[in-house]
Amino acid sequence: MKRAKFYEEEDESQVNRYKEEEDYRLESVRKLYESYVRKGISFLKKGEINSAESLFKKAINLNFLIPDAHFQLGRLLIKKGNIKAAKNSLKNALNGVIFLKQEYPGHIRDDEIKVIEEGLEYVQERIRLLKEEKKLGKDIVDEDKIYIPPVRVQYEFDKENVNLIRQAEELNYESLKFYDLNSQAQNLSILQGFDELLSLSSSNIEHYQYQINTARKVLKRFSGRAFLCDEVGLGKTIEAGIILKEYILRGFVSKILILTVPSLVSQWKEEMSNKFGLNFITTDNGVFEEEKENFWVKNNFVIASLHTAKRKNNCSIIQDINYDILIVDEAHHLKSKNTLNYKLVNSIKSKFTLLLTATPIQNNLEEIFNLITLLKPGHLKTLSHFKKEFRIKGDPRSLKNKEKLRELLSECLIRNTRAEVDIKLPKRHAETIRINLSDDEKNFYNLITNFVKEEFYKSTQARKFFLETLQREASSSVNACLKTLKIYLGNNEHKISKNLIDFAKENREIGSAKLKILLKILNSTDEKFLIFTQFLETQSLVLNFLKSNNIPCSVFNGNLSGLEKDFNIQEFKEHNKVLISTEVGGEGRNLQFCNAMVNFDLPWNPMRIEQRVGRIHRVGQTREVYIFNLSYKDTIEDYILKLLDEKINMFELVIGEMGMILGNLEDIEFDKRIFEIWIDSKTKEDLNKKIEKFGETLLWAKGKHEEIKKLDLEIFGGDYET
Amino acid sequence: MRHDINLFCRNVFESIGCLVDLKQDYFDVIIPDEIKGQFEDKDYIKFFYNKENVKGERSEFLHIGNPLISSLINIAQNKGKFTCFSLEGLPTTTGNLQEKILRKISFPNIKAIFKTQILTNSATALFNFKITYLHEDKFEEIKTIAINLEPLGLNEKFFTSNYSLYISEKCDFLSMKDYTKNIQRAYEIACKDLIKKQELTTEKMKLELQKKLKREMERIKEYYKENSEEVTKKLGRIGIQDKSRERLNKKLEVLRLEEKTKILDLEEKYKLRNLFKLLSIALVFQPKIRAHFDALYKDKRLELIVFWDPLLKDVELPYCYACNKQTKSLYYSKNLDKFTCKECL
Repeated sequence: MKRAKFYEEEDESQVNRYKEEEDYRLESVRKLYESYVRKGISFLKKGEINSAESLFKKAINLNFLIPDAHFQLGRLLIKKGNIKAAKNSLKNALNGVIFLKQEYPGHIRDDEIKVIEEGLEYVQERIRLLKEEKKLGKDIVDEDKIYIPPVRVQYEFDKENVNLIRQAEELNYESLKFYDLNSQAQNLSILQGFDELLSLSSSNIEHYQYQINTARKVLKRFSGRAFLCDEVGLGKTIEAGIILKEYILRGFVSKILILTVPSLVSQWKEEMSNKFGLNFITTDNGVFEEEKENFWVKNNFVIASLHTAKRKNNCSIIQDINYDILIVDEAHHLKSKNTLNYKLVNSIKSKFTLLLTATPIQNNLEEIFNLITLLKPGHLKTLSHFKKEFRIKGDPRSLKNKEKLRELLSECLIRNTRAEVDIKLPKRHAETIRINLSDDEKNFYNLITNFVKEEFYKSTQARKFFLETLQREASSSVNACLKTLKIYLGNNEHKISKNLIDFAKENREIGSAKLKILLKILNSTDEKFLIFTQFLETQSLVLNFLKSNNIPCSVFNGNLSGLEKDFNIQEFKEHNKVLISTEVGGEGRNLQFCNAMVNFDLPWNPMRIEQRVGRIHRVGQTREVYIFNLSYKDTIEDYILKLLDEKINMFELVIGEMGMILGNLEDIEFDKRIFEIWIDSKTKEDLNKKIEKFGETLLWAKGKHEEIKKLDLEIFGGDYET
Repeated sequence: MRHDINLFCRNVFESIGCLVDLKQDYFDVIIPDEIKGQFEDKDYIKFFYNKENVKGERSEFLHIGNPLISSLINIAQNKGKFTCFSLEGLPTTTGNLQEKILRKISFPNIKAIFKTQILTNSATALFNFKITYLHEDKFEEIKTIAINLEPLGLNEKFFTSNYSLYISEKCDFLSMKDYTKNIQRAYEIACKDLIKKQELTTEKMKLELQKKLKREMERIKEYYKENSEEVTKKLGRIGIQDKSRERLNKKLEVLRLEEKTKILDLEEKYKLRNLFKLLSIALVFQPKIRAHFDALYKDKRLELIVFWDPLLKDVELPYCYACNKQTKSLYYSKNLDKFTCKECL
C-alpha cells in the first residue's frame, strides 16, 4: 500500500517535471530552428544556394510547427528550377500555416498566408506551362509575351468646313484670280520634314552651323526627346530655343514648361523674349502668387524653378497637365533617382523633352544612367546591367566598354565641344579699383545703409523692393538715390527720408571720385570703351561729365527707339570713344569691335555681371578683353567683388562657368543672400564673418565644378562626336 | 520654286491693292495704310531674290519662313475660298448618242427605250482638302475631289480632262442657284471618298509608327520587367515577417503604375491624327447632253436619264442609287424602286 501511494506521488511530480522539460526542449528547438532559417536566408542573400538549402532542410527536420523553413525552401527550389519539389515545400508551408491559424489563431496573419498561397499559385502555373511546352515540343512558354497595341488613328474634320459650305450655298463667291492664289498659297504652306528650319529667319540670334545641325538632329532623328550636353558657352539655350520655336511655328506645341535653377529663371525669360520673340511667364511674377493653382493650368508658356515646381502643392498640379514640351535646364540636378527633382520630372507628361546640361556626369556613372532613363526608360537597360557592362567593380567613376556606351549615348545625346566647332575665345583680364570714400561720401552711404536696415523688416514687399534699389543706387551716384528718395519715399513725410533728400541735394558732388578714376582710365589708351551702369541718372551724370572733358560718347538704354539704338551703336563704332549703356543695352548687338569695359557700378547678381562681360567677350572677339571694376571700399559691391574676384576668380573663368558654379549652390540665390547678410549684420566683424562663410560655400561650389570636369573629360573626351 | 514664290508674292500684293515695281535684283512694294498693320507697320518694302544682295533698311530676303511672306501666304489663304467658273467652247454635239450609250451601259433587267436628247447645263463641285497626318512629325498633302451635282456622284475622270483650256469667268447666276441645294450632300460624298483616298498613306504611316511603337514598348516592358524581377528576388530572400516586405511590395506596385503611365505616354506619342480641312470650293458649270430613256421593267415604266459629257467626250456612267458608285450595269431594284448596281440589287 505504502508503495502504491509512493508511486502516485511520484507520477504527479514526474508529470510536472516532464512538462517543464518538454517546455525547455521546445524552447531550445525553436531557437535552433530560427537560427537555421536565419543563417539560411543570409546564405541565400550571398548567393550560396546549396548551403542555404541544407540549412533549410535541417530546420525542416526539426519538425517544428512554424512553416518558415518550408516556405524558404520552396522559394529556393523555384530559383533552382526544381518546380515540383518547390510545389511540395510550399504545400507543406501552407498546411503548416493553416494548422497554426486554427490551433493558434493569434500566431499567424492573413497576409502571411496570402504570400504562401501566391507562391503556390505561381508554382502551379509554371508546372502547367512546362507540361504544355512538353506537349507542343516547342518553346511557347512566353508568359511574358509582350502585347503591342495597334497604333490608333483619329480622324478629325475641321469645324470651319461647315462655314465654307454655307458660303457656297449662299453663292457668296470671289473671283477666280483669288481662288488661284489661294491654291498657290496652300501649296507653299505645306512643308515636309524639317529640312528647312522656319525658326531661324524669325529669330534674333547669331547662330552657328553646329547649332542648326543639333536642332535638325533633335527634330528629325531624336523625335524631340534629347539630351543637349554642349560644352559650357556654346549656346545650349540657343539650340533649345531653335527647337522650341520650330515646333511652335509648325503647330506641334502650345503648352510649354521650362524648368531651371532659381538664378536662371529671369535669364531664360529674357533670352526667349529677346532672341525668339517668345513671351513666357515665370514663377517670379506676382501673378503666380495671385493665381496659385490656376497659374499652371491657365498659362501655356511657363518658366519655373525646379525648387518651386517640386513643392507639394505645385507638383501635384503639374503632374496632371499634358505638356507638349518640357525643357529642363541644368539637368544634372536630376542625377539622383531619390530626389524630388527627379521624381517630379519623371512624373511630368510631355510629348517632347529636352534636358540641358554641360556636365551630365558629376560624381559617378550612375548619374548618366538616371538621366538617360528619365528620357528613354530601358535604353541603358537596368541599373545592375549597366553597372556590370560599363563600370569597373569598386570604382563608381571608372569606365569600361567606353565605345559601346558612347554608341548608346549617341542615340539620344548631343555634345558639341569647342575644339570641334572651332570656337576660340581670347583671354579676359579684370582689374578691380577700390576707391576710398571721402568723409562726406562715407556719411551719405552710411545714412542710406542705416535707413535701409532700419526700415527693411518693417516694410511691405513693394517698399522692400525700393529700399533694395536705394541701397544699390547708393554706390552708383547721389542723383540715382535722389530720384528714388523723392518719388517713392519722400511723399510720406518720413523724417529720415526728408533729411536724406536734403542731404543729397546739398551733396551732389558725391560720386565724383569714381568719375575722376574713370577719366584716368579712358585717357590712358586710345581704345574704345563700353561703360555699364544700372541707372539712367548715373548714365546722364557720366555722359555730362565725359562730354565736359571732351570725350565723345554715345548712350544706350531702353528708352531709345530701334532706329536710335542702331544709330548710336553705329556712331560708337565709327566715331565715338565711349558707349555708356544700362543693363538692357547690347543684347543681340555686335559689339566685338570693342575690347575694353568699365563697370561703373555693379549688379549684385554675378550672372548679370557675366552678361555684361559677354557683350564683348564672346564668339567673334579677336582681341584680349580688359574689364575695369570700380567699387567704393566697404560697400556691398566691394564685398561682392572680393567674393567673386578674389575667391573664385570669376573674371578668369570661361563663359558660362560662373552659371555652373552658381548652379552647384542649388537653392541659394546669390544676390538675395548677399543682401540678407548685409541687412542682418549688426557690426563689421559680424559682416566679415558671414561673408567669409558664404565665400567658403562659393569655393566649395567651384571645387565641385573642377571635379566634375575631370570625369566628364573621361567619357566625352575630345572625340565623342566622331 | 524661287520663281514661283516671286510671282506668287507679286500677284498677292497686287491683288490686295499694293503697288509693285519689278527690278532686276528685287521688287519693291508700296503698302496702303489700311493694311500695313499686317506687314509690321511697314509701308514700303524691298524684296531681294538673293540673300547676299540684301542691304539697307526696309530690305527683306524673299523666302519661305520670312514673317512677311508668312503674312502674305496667310492673306492669300483667307481669300478665294469659293469661286464659280464655267467651261466654254466645248463641242456640244455628238452623233449616234443612243448607240454610244447602249454600247457603254448594260441594262440586264430592264428594257431601255431612247426617247430624246437635249443640251442642258450641269455643274461639278471641286472640293480642295488639306489632309494633315499628325504624329511625332507632320506630313501634309492637298487633294481635290470632283463631285457631279447632277446626277449627284463622284466624278473621277474630271481631272483627266484638259478642262483648263475652256475656263471662263462668265457664269449664269440664275442656273447656279439650282445646284447649291446639293452642295452639302456633295460634300458628304467627297468626305467619304477622301477617307478612302488617304487610306494607303495612313496604312504606310501606321506601319512605320507600329514599328517604332513596338521597339519602344519592348524597351520599356523589358526595363520594368527586369526591375520587377529584381524586387521579386529580394522578396524571396527575406522572411515572411520581415519588415521590409511591405516596402518592397510597395515598390513593385509603383513600378507597375510607372510602367502603365509610360506605356500610355507612348501610345499617345505614336497616335496618328488625320485632320481634314476644306480649303476651298469651286463650282464648275458646263453644258452636257441629257439623254432621256423609258426604262421598262415588267409592267412598270420609269424614266431613266444618262448624260453625255462633252469635256470627257464620253458617256457618263450612271450612279447606283444605293452606294453612289458609277456602274456599267444598271439594274432596277424592286425593293428600292430605284436603279442600282448589281451588288446593291
